[in-house]
Amino acid sequence: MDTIAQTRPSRSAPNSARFRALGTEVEVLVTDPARLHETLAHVRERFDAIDRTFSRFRLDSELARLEWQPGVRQPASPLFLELLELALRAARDTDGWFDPTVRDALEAAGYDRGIEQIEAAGPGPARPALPARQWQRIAYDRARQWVCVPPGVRLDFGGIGKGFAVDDALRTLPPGRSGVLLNAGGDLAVRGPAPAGGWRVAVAAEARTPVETTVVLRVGALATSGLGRRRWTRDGAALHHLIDPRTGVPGDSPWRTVTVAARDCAAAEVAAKTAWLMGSAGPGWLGRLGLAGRLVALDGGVETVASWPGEIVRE
Amino acid sequence: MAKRKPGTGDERALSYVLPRWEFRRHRRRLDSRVRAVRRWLLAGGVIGTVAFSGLAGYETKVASGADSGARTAASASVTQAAGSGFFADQASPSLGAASPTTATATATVTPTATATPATTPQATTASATATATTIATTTTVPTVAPTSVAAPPTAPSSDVPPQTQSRTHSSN
Repeated sequence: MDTIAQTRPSRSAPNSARFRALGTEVEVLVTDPARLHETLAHVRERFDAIDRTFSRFRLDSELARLEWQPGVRQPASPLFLELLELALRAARDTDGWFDPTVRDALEAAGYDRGIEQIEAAGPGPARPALPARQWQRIAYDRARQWVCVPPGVRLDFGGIGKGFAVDDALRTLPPGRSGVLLNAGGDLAVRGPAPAGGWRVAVAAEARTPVETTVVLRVGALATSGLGRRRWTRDGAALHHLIDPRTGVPGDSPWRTVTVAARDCAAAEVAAKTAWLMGSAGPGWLGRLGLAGRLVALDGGVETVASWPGEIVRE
Repeated sequence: MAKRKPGTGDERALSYVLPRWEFRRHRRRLDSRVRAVRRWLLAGGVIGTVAFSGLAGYETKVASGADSGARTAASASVTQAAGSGFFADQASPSLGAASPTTATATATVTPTATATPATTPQATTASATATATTIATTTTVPTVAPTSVAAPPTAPSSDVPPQTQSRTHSSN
């Protein structure tokens, strides 16, 4: 996650605003324009807290502090421990397909700096990576507020951090009558009363590619996973940020993008990433969990799961 | 020579002024004090060593996650209730299909029709209508694709319809 590059929002409409945080663009929509300023200030404050706690690109983040002394029980903030526990539960319930310990593999693949820097200066040099699938070795105690990250284990909250930030910001929002849609780089959730006709969410492969379909969301969250912008080449090899924990290298999937709906944004984000990594087993896995999903194959074919609304099949 | 009290001066000099049995008694008392101090030191050392070793062992167990007070992810599956699974109660909320009628009413962009025409003539017509409506009424929709009609950047606030559309996509 990047530092907050821009702190001044650019208003695009009376009931919406945008700003950059966590290395992506964050969009806030409200049904009551009078609540926009208050809501925006709250969201920015929460996203800033998330960035200060979990960023792997900030030397002053709590994550960076914990990395200085591996193998030692260290005090940790309630926010850090909350996401850590969530990530470990996600790893457990996905049988390790989601893995918060792929950090070293991710950096060995070249993603050792912000994506903007990679695009400008290229990825880091190739090197062997520490093994992933180490999440079971992490010890922590939320009540006593400590964590012990063993030597050789490096944490990365990509794949869950943005969703958690969205959930956290919406959950801690002061009560009000305004409905809110919060979108962090494509991972979005809503809270409160929806506007007439519901929140319309366009589904696309990337931020600037054509819309493929549109769904209406009244409660819950949507998240999309895929290669998107975070991909690069090194020595002629195409690399990206979705690490397969089994191999420790960027994964291979028949899916271009996977979009999942869930109650919480973190769950939708983890489910989308996991289904992408699972490949052909992804739709069945989503269906068993009762999670609605839309999977777009590399050849453009679309497969929908569970209660995902039907859409016009294109040829 | 003035008489000196025992223990207040040179013991050798004292031996000349005290009777021998008094000197031996004084010497034994002194020796017992030294032995007591030595025992305290030895006992304290032993106790300190034991305490230090115990604490070191505890810290080692904590560091390896073996301490019963530490909750590892592996043990979490045992200690946490089934209802607290990561995907518990996450079954998808009702998602609605965005009908062309709704699209027209809310004046949102559906560039799908432009990029990838629908297969059925009826749907194509409906989507085309929605697109035409968008061109006519949309003022600010930041999520539009590059192929869509650009929004006027300086529309008056009072004329801007509430934005109710967002966009999901892979990370940017």
